Amino acid sequence: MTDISKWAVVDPSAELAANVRVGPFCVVGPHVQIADGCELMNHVTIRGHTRVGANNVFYQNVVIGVAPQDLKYEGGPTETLIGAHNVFRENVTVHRGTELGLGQTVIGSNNLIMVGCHIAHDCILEDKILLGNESLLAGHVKIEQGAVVSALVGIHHFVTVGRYSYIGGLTPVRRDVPPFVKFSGDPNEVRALNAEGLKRHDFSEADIADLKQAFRRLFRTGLPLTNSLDALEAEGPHGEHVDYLCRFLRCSFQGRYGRHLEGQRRDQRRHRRFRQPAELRDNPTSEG
Amino acid sequence: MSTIAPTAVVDPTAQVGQDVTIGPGCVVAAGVIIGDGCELRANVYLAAGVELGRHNRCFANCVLGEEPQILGGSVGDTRLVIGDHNTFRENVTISPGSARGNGRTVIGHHNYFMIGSHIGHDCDVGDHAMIGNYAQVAGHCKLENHVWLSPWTGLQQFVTMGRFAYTGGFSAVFHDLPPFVRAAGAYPCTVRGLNVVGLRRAGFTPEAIAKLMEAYRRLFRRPTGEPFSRAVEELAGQDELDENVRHLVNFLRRSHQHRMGRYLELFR
Repeated sequence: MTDISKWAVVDPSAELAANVRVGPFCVVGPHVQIADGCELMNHVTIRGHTRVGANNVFYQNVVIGVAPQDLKYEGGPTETLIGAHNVFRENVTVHRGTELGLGQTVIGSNNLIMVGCHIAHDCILEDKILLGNESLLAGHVKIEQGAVVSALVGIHHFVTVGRYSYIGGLTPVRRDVPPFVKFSGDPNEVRALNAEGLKRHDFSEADIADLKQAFRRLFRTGLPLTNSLDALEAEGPHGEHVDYLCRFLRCSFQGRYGRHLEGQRRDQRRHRRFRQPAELRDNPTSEG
Repeated sequence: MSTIAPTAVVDPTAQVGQDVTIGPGCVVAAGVIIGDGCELRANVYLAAGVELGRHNRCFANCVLGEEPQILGGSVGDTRLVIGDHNTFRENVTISPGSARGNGRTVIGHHNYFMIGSHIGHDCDVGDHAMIGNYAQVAGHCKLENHVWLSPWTGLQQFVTMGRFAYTGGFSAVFHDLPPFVRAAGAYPCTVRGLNVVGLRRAGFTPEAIAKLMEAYRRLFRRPTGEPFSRAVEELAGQDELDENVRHLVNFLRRSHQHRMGRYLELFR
């Protein structure tokens, strides 16, 4: 039974499935689709072309799918896609994509996004991610499954955070975070293998031991990382996880500034000129 | 005479005191207690289990007492108990206690929580704390009286911050912070000096500050190679120790009992 508070403002063309609860002072715009069992507590705003999967919980003051903070954005109908079973705590903001990026911001399933986090345009979040309080993601960031981002972390645009990695609090992340490791500090440093995180995600003892050995050979030999990576790769396949770690590091080297996705960006210098934000330009497709 | 805006949603079981102002868009859940003279500006949310004392001010978008951020959730009747004369600026979030902790978060009197600051579950905040913009305090922390957190300070869980301790901006505090000192930095956060300005403002006499300064030099500016524990024990062994210095020494001895320097972690 869908339960919409009399104080909520839900556009008649929004598609709300069964058992959606909408608390007082929520705003749901047109073009929004909300699947079964979602709960919008109060003062939640969901706008734009946004599709929300089943059983998501939105706490107070969450804002989803509004225009990105990006001067390249033209005001087009870009999307925000959200999977199932995510929790968005108070004051979280998620912005829709931009035309020159993916055109959509994607959030997977089973993520916990804590108080005050910001997920900017064209970000991709996979599954089972934990974002700590006030973690701020810039545009085009990709976070792979099972990563833990601690409180007050800032992530530079086009950074990829590898799967099952851990980022310590207050870290300004400027380059790709390798999978399976603990990463923190300014300047950024890889500190250790994230053994505790791997155990919590039911990695076998043997897999952890393999990763530990590969970690030592990559980060503890005192050689430049490129040399130790060449040596490790030359020995042929090492099993799924170690191969993934090697492939990830190789990709990061190939991008610019240690950011793999930076090498794939589609905008050019002329797009980065200062101009008015889309909301202020004469543009009929803009919708707040 | 209380003023409640027509667009505020206040549960009939909530107890609202005298001279309370509740602005438009506020939502007050069942069983909440709001003391005399409180002021809720706009869009404030008070969840079940909140007890507000007298003359507190909550600015727009404050969320007090909403479920703690714990994996696996929290069951049971947990509370957030707030004293008198506190100010909660915009977007402040404070969690109540958790069933696995002591079941309540306690906030004292005359504290000022700036925009976007967060106090986690089961925390114990004393009086006259100044919590800067976006400062984040994790679960189970204890803040003694007169602490000062600058903007973007992060406290790890189970950290104790001693009275009159001060952190600089962007500090990441992973261990107990001794009373009366200034600390700053991330990876590592280090003690930078005695919080002389804070002590002077609070009315400490020059003699009391001089005694603390002497103890501070002995503890934190000791000769290279001398273990910290020896300096602490030497100070602790002195007769007729100044009251504040005694507090500092006792605090350090307590913190040292835990492997990671977080005394409260011993009670997990």
